[in-house]
Amino acid sequence: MSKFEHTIKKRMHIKIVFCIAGAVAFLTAIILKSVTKNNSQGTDDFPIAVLIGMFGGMEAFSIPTILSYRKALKDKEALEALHISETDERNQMIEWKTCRTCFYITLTLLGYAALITAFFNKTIFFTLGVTLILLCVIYVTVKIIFTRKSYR
Amino acid sequence: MSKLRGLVLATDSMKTKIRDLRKERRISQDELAKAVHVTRLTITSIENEKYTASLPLAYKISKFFGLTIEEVFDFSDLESDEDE
Repeated sequence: MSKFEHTIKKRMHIKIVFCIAGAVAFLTAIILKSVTKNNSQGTDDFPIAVLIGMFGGMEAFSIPTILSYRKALKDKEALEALHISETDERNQMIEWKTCRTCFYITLTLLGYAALITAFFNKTIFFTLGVTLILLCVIYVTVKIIFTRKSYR
Repeated sequence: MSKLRGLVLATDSMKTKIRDLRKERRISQDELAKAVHVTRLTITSIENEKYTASLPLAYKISKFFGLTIEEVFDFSDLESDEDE
């Protein structure tokens, strides 16, 4: 259990660092937006809006996890419950099946989207095509790694 | 050993006597789950034949009750498959 405790502490610290970095980026994006709003030239604020949304979402996702880790580190029962939920074989199987199914659905939808956009916009088609190829390459590479790995 | 291999490879859910054994000894699902280090939902799924326990988990459950794996898990479906 102490090994798991160390793992949770490490995870919490990493998440806190990312949270702070995300918060800084979030605030920077808001400040940039307000600065460019006052700018007479006017700039496209779409990238800034994307940054605000993305980092805001990341913060909203990370904070409850950090709080649950903090609770687990203070309370032995909560730590044990967290350990059980993470190592439970049925939960792991569900996670594995979900990731696998989502991967295949994503691949299929990307393929169809690339085919459709080929008729309208070359840039989008090539972006989607490269993403598709990259996903396949990563999949094959990871599969080779796991095939050669020993499982004890 | 062939029975145990069937337990590992079986994709269909397997009948078990876990619920009856628990009731005999007045043990809750929660207590059993904590003892074998899984969630209560996993025990529920095994009892309702919606999930087949892995070999290590089956061993832990059997050891908890002080019985063999064959006494806790019902292999009659696997044996009838072998006969076919």
